[in-house]
Amino acid sequence: MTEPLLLEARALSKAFRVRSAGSVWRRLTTIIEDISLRLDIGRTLGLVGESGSGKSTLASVLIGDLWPSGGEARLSGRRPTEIPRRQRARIVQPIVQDPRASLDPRWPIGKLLSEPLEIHGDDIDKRHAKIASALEAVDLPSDILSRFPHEVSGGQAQRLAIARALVLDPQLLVCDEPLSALDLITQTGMISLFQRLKTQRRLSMLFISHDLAAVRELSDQMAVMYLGRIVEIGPPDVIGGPLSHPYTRALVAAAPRFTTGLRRSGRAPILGEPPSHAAKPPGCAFHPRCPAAAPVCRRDAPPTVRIMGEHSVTCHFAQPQALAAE
Amino acid sequence: MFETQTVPRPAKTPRIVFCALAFLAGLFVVALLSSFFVGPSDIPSDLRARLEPPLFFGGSWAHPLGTDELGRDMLMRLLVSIRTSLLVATLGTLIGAVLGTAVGMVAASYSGIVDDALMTLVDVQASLPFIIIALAVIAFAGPGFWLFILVVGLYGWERYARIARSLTLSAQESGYARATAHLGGGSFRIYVRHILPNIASALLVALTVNFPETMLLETSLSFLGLGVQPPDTSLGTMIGDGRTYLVTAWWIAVVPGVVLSLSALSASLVGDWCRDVLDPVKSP
Repeated sequence: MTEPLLLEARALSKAFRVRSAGSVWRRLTTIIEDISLRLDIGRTLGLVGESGSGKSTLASVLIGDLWPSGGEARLSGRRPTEIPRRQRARIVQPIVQDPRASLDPRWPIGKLLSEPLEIHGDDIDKRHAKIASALEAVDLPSDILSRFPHEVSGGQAQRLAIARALVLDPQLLVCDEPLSALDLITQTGMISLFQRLKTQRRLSMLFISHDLAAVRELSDQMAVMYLGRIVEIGPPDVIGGPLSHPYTRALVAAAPRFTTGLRRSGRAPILGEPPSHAAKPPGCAFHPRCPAAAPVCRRDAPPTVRIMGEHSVTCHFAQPQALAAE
Repeated sequence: MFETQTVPRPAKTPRIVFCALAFLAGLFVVALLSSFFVGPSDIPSDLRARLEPPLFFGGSWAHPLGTDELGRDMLMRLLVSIRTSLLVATLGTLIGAVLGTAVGMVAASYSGIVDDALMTLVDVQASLPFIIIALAVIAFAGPGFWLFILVVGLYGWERYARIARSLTLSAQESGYARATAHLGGGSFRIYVRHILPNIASALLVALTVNFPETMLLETSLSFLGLGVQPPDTSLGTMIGDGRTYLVTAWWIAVVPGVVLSLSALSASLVGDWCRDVLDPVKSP
């Protein structure tokens, strides 16, 4: 019998009842739609997209904080919402954008770090070893244990949040924008920390970020979301290339480039704001902003085309490259 | 975003707050000490020394605060009364605080129908004049010391409930509450060990504001004859007793009245000061 996939989503969707401005009734608004993805043990899936594209909602459904409205999520072969809370904590731990808020301001750090073990009923003497190993894994000195959360820096707080997750030895970290509250130097340190965790602890990660460079560096597989749908999924080296979705290409073009120091040219940046989830354009959701939009894009929903191998693009103009692969 | 916790500003405590704290502390010490050597039934009544005025108003050292209509020493009665009144006010305040906080947190943690039901109860309580309810309950169930404390304790619970509910609602969404849930922690751990300590300062402020009000409620009910029953005595009963002699022997009502006003005033001052120091907006 093969081991079940660590994380899997099949046609997953989530809708909320939202009251739009000036209306009494709350309308069902779909935030994520028809999401399918798979993540093996020891692999990292990067998830990029604009703010509001549904990345965090997807993460919440995948770790069982929200019930899906349609489709199915599986965590180690079971529905995340059906796994008892403590068991689930041993499988998946979220890492959030604001680490300081996730640490109770009134508890000293030592107590905060031993709390997960206390919840799971570990022996007192085993706790010290686990805390020490988690602190070592995130490069923090042990004298931090006597301090309070407001006495450490933002980067240290994020390391603490990771250490707090690591003491439970989870298989999967769901990192929701773990870098965006940190400065660039701290970000670089965090990226190498995540890389070490990947190789040394064989941790799987779902890494959500709008920092394309960071995601590219960390991921084995990347997914691009636009307005609640995955428009492209594939290995990091083909994402943003000539065969990519127009949205992905625009996203890559919009990313700042420090290496060349040159202003990007050639590609037109995408114009305007993304449409709201409540009023999605018909056909392809990206067509109002797409430089390559044709009449068919306004009319029909685009198909998902397998370009080659594990690279798929959801676009009317995507071309399979079966021959090129030979 | 700016960190609000920069250099701790040395808060200057007003001198009057020191006086108020000293007065309240003194009151509690007197109440505790006096309970070792004087009880309500130990006060002898000396009918030959009825209605003697206090010292400096024509009285003598034998009865520094004068005597009442039965010739009982006012000082001794006052000590017993202070003890009773403080006991009722303290217990009453604590009962209200615990009950209200529990109701508020439960309402916030179970949203939906439980929340609606409990908050309706809070609204009902807030819209009824409390003294009428107290009168009805005591008149119906008969006066008794512990029932009386319970009734006094119910006073103001709805305020704690509202504060606790709104603070819990926002604390539930906080990162640390979510993180605890993600680590596998149960509701007890989340609500009692994480949320409660974080919202406690606002509740403590409500408690200090509530204390003098509870004290005054105790006095009002006792004044009306529904509170503390003789031979036990409280500040309210003393004032009630003195009412009839106000023209001929003013000290019977005035002495406990002064003590009562001073202690209520002190408690209010301390409460206001606590609010300034513990204000959740100023210090996170």
